[in-house]
Amino acid sequence: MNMKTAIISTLMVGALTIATMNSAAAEKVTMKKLNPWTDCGIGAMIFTSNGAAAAISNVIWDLGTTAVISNVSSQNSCGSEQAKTAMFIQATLPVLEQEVATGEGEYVTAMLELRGCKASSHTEIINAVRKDIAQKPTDNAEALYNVLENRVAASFANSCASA
Amino acid sequence: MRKLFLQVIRSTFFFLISIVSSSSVANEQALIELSKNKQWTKLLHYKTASASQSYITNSDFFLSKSVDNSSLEELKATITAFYLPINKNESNDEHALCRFPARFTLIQSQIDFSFYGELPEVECTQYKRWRHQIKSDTISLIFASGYMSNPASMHGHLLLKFSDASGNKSTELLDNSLNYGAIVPNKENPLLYVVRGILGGYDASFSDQRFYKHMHNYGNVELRDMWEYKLTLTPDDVALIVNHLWEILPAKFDYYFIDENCAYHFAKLIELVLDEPIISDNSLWVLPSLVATGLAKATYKNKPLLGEVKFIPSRETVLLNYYEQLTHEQKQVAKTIITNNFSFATEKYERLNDDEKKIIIESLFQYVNVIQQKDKNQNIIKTNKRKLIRERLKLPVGKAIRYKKVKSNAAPHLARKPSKFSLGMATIEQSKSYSTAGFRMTYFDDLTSSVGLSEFSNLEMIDIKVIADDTQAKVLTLDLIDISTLYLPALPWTDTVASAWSVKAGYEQLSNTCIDCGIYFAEGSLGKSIRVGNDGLGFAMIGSKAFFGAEDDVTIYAKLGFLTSITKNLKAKIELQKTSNIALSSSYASSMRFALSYEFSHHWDVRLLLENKETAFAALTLNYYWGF
Repeated sequence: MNMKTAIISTLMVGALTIATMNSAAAEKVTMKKLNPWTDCGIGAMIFTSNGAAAAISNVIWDLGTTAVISNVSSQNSCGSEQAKTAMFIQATLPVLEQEVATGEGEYVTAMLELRGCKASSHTEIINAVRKDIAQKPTDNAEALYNVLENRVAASFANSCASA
Repeated sequence: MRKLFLQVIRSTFFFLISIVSSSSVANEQALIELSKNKQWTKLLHYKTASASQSYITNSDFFLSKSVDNSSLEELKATITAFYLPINKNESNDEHALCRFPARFTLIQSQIDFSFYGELPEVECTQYKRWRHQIKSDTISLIFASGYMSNPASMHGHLLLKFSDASGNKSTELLDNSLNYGAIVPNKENPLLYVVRGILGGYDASFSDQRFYKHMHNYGNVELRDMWEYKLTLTPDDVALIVNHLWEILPAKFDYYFIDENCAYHFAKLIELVLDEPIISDNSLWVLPSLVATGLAKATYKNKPLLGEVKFIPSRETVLLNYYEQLTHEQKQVAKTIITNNFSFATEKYERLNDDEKKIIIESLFQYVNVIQQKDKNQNIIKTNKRKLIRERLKLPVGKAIRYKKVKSNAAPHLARKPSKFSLGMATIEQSKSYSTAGFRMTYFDDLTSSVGLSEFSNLEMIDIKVIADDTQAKVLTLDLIDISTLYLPALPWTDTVASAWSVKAGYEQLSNTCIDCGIYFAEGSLGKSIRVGNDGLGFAMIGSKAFFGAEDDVTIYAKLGFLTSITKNLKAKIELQKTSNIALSSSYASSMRFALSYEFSHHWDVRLLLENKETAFAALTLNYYWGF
């Protein structure tokens, strides 16, 4: 190996190493778990769990004054099933968490449909989520979302849309 | 850039040549006819079919680059824009073929595009993605009932909802819906809000959201019942409306609370596919209930436009419905649980089987949901809710109680029309006779049949009564607003009686002895009420009244009253009032008022009023109810 070949080889190895490192870093970024609350600003975008903000933003001129926020047509950045599910949970928690405890209801079904879970798996998923919540109660929308996501990842990955 | 410019010039040139060439006379005629087509002018939201002024205020909606261009100019500009080559410096989504799919559908159905050459192939990514999300088998108009806690929301609100044909309940929450509203800056000054809302000053726009957000906002937070009016439109017409929605989502309108509001613009949007208007183009005021009435009357392809009407109960209505289904013992057990800070360690509860426990917990779920919207102590409510959830998780899966349909939920389109003309006669002290005439702008009073309206409530705006004899005519009363809710039922398991409130402001005569002693006033009262049988209501209120005019004064008063339906068409109301000393007139010291209303058709009633306020006043009026 002459000097020129050695330099070229060294440069190639170096370049490949850097490329591999960048690739690994890129993959790491890609695999970062989505947190819709921080990544998509869900808490600010839609209603608080007790609906107070919604009530305030919808005052007096009710012949059409609901605030123009979070249009379906402008939700491109956080349009995944998980983000949509998180938004749904955030917006409907007061009723949704009661239906989860009951084990059935239109809000539960809508949540699992949004999450991209097959209808045939809904009963099993919600039963599993109930058990998880019975062991470790949730008290906010993000906690309920995490229970659902963890349960889907652990037991129902094949029945629901991939993360 | 230069190349693109040349392409644009070339396309425009060929388009213009094709229009002016001798062989295009027929096509020019077709363009003129299409420009006058009602559907074309509706797509442009022109104020009347013949004018060139649009409700849409942003010029970029118009390809002829002016909001005042004629429909023909806009048509030609649209066709020209369809033929423009793709601008590589712009997203494809900016191309007219992507921005105006409804215009394209209509023009394509009327004009032979091949005449102008081959259209460019444009991939409309954003439009396709958005369109894919909209289930568009059917369209429904959603009527959110009046919000009696907020005077300006009392007339109700409208939305549009797009659904698939399956009618799956869970899917309905995920349906797309369309809202229309003023764009109000955050922390707007309330006075400015009112002034600009009525007189103009706000932009307005449509917005698309999943229906669950409205369901939560109206049904779960504001506790308002809703009605869904399903329309019988064909899939092609539904698609046209949805495509047009894509065109107008970025558009801006001027907002006026009285007439150019959500009710008006939703009516106009549905009219896009109708031959006849739902509401008059010349309406001076537009209410959601009038749009509902218009839908119920409208025909579409020789059949009724309105299909099914569905009631969507609010969370409070569900609570009251569940409560009615509970046995006396179940109510008592639930009461004990509430009293014991949601502890379930009671013998009576533990003795129940699982089904009964589930019924009680699921009823209490509704109770805490409603309390959560009315009580300020959110932390205690959340703690109690956690206890309920923990207890419910111990029991088997499955609902044990469901909303039971009741007959009394008449839809708003069945309500009497909101505006009123009156003619009648009056006598004072049985000696002097007068003629009377009256006009009310909106909406209903507590002697109106409550079908489709809030029971024991009064919501009147701009109500004027004139009295005249041989020599003079005077304004007897002018109520700018007269709003009352005499029966706000107490929540189940609370030891309170129903409450009542009222506000009123306007102009009236100080005494029945004169008809030229008018004075301005504003008053408000609070009270309690109790149901007597199925149709009666007794109420007691205290209030304060301020007078402005020749002299200013303030007084307080107490009032006792009874309101009842004697028969289906006959209603009566009696009020006795005692007022504190008032410097202005002794006639206010005490008064008695009795009113009787007999409804002999949906549009007509006759009313008798007897009032003793120092002197006796009697009036008999014939009232005609109407709406635009």
